[in-house]
Amino acid sequence: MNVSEVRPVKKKMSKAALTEHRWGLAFVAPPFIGFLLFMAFPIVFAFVASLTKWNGMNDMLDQFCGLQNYVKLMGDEKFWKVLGNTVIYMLGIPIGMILGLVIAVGMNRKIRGIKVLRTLYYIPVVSSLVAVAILWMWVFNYDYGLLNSIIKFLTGSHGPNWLGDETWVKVSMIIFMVWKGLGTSIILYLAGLQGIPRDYYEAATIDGANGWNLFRHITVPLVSPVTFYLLITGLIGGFQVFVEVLVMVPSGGLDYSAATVVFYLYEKAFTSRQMGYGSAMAFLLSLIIFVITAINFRAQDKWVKTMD
Amino acid sequence: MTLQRNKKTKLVDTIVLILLILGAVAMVFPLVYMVFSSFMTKNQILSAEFSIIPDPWKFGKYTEVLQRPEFLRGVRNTLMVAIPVLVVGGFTSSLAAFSFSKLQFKGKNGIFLGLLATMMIPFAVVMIPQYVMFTKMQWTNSLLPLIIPGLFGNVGVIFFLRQNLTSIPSTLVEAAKIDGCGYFRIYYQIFLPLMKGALMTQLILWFMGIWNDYLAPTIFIQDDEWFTLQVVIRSFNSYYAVNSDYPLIMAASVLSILPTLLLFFFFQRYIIESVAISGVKG
Amino acid sequence: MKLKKVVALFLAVTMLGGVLLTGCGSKEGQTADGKKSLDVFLYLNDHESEIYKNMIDKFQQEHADTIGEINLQITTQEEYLTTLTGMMTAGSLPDVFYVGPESVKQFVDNGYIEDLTPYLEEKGISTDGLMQDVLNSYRYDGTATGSGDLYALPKDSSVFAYAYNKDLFDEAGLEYPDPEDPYTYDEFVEVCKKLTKDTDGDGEIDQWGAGFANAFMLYQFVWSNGASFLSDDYKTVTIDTPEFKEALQKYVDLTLVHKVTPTVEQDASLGVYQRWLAGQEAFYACGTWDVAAFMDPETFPYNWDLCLFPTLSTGKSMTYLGTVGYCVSADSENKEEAVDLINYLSTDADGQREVSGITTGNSIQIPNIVELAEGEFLDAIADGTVKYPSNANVIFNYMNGTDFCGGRFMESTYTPNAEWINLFFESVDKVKNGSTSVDDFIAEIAPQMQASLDEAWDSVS
Repeated sequence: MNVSEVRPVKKKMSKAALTEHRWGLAFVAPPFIGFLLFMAFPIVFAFVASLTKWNGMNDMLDQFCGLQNYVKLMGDEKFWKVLGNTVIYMLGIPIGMILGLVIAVGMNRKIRGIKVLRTLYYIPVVSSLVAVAILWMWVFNYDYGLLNSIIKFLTGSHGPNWLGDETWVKVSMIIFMVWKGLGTSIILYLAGLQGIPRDYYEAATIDGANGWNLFRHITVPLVSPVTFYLLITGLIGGFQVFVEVLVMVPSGGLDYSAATVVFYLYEKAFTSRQMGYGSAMAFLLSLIIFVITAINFRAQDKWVKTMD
Repeated sequence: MTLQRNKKTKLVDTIVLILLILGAVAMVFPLVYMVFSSFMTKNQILSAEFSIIPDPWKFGKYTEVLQRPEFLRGVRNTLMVAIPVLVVGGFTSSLAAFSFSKLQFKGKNGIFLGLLATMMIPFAVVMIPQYVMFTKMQWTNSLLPLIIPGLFGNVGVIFFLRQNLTSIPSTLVEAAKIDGCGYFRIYYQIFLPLMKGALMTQLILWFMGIWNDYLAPTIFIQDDEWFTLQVVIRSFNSYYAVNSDYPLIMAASVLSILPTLLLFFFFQRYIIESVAISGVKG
Repeated sequence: MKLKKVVALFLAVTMLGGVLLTGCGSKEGQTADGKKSLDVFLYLNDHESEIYKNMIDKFQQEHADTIGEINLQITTQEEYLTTLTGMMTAGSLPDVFYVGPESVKQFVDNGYIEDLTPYLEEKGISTDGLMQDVLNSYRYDGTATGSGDLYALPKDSSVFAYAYNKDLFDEAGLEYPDPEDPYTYDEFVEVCKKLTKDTDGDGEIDQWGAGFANAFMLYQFVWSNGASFLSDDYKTVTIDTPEFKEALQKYVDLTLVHKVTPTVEQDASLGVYQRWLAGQEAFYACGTWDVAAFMDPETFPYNWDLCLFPTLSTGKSMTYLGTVGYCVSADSENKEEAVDLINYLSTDADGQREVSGITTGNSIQIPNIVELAEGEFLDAIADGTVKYPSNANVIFNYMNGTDFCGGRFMESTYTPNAEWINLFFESVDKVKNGSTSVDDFIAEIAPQMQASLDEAWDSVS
């Protein structure tokens, strides 16, 4: 009796665990299936396609060419150029961080009306990228744009050819990206600052530290997790900049000076129909992103501090 | 001493406030300019003189935009994507978040990390294969390429909701099991109500993402009947620039920004909070 | 048990969504009542699409006993090729679509388009009345285009002529250009200088002799100087010849030395096309498809007429011609009906009267039928039924060729893709803004163009 009573219980336990296991799996099945269908399979497909000279019309597997696309990519001046442009645009990341942190420090005081300001700074973030890119394209217009009108009004001389000049176009894109993303870094830094206990500052002040020292030795290190987060997301996003260029400089700029990696690969894959070459570029791009992210995670112990 | 200190703090506060206001004005100024120029005449926009205030005020461009069938179709299509994705995707995401957070099953961490890693994969690498898939399935003359992937849930939302659930004790699950509740009922009757607030915020953010998305629709949708709003706005930009009808382009852009802006104003507390959490805890 | 329910529910919702949104698939090529249906995919501008929709409706009504439905999908010229490639990848080509001469070889080799020759023979359709040069560009003999079986019927043939703003000439007290005697380069510079001025006295030039969009204007200079972008077999880039360099130099000199066009910077603030519409440029190029727009006072409130592009060393004014044709998908279920439709669109006399403006007054193209073009069409221009500038014969002279002018297709018409030429136009502004010399630019860009061209040919071999 006793024995037979115990056994079902034991069995029931494992059965319960099994049920939970099944239900647990079933509940996560949709995102997992979605991951297989729309991520895993495409990545394998992209890799296979990157080994071919497929143009979307001919039979992909007939066009197998080994690593030729990758070899060609290494010698493709245009690819290095767009990669360079993409990296230059990333100057916007530290600029956005510094501005964001400074503004957040300013906002982290008990002043009335701060919340309204916070909202204002955040508006560009929630605005449609296409719409604000169209707007800025007009702001940057050489003769009629807002920016050059103001410059002319203030200085009397004509401002630069923002989107038409090989150098200025990069400045323009960085200004735009910083403007669009500033709200996010402000909010994140503000949240980070609010997590720093007041007594840290008080203790340091008693030790005779001045404002700059407080900022340099307490604030900056203690918001480093936010900095790290902004850096990682900024780099991942920075390598994928595309829509803003497509809208503001649809030609890719004089001598391709505004084009980014994704801009180039979009043109290759969908305009010149070199799907194989485009896939190789896409694959290389994700490899770069992967390596850089991994390096960052490795290096984070060196400079990212936690509160405890 | 204290009085002096207070005075000094007040002074610093004022200076900081002034600087912050100047910064905010600079941030919003382009958008204000966009609104103003949508009321200007073509000639005023194209005059070399610097002016911001419309003279005269013209309101006709908004009616003109709202009468364009493409514009209304764009709004309709965007909503036709957003509604099923948010309803079904919200369900699948919250269900998965519940499971990842409160249930025990083999392979849980592996699957979760796998999903999380996809946030690092650039859209560019899956863009070409997805395009091929969707054309092969002959979906490109419909909204399916934008809807179907969303139904399976969104990794960011799952991640956020899972974080949100960690503060809720797992003993609730055990207690419910003892009461004879099935797993789906535990999710539906206990945990779904508990994460309602967080889920709503995530859905609002997701909606903004769908509303503002340009890249996927422009690649996957080939039939102009199914263009979403952002694609329509972009085509307005190239189409009307030929006749230099910039007021109309600006009016269309203003209209396309308005819904997300309103949502943001109404729910800003929740939105800002949830963005902040993802940065600090992420 | 419940688990299955959840899974089933999820699947059901997904499927349902799918079915609802794609619509229930009816049988390919047929409508519900068993009649034939045709899918047509074209790029058309607003002016054109109205006229073409009517024509297609009319055709369907005339064939209402066999054809139940014609679905017309319209896109823009920029999007067309991308979308079409998508359809090819998907294996779901429409029954009727466009093909340009440049794509005939590729489309035939990959088995996408049908040989029209047997259908035309069987139906007794003659193409003798059409412009033969244009028609021949759709012939392909298995190795090269230009002769052999016919794979498309022309939708139109277009000419890119020069136009001038008469009002600005009157204001400057200048004689109008002679439509049969093109300016030499020096004469052109002289005239343009007189038309370039500061009209409101604020110290800045606001009216120019001409406006040049590189990708539309450089060809005329190059060809008129006896140069070409490519060798005769279209395999070698030939921009490093002295003739080509001279043509490019003279082209940029108009902006840099003579200063009779907007600068590159000014071009960035307001395009040359917009400036022409605003009456800021005396000369601008005018395609046959532009005529209806320029004749519309709402769009262009000035008097204008056609003339010839200036000449360089050969003394012959040159321009480029364009054409696009209707073809029938090799997978079409209803090839007979599709051929009837494209025959109607391309060669029906009433249809051609409509698109050329003989019946509607607004011209978007020249009639495809030679007899109609050189007879009724010119008469209708002369008596004012078609709104057209009076020097319409400029267009015919370019098309047919005379001793003082001629037209040809762009080099990229004969190459598998246009990437090699895009490389050139992407950066030629560097020369036009004075930051690079012609020699340096050519030395830099020519090898890149050659590499791109080699690759293009390689991709189809």
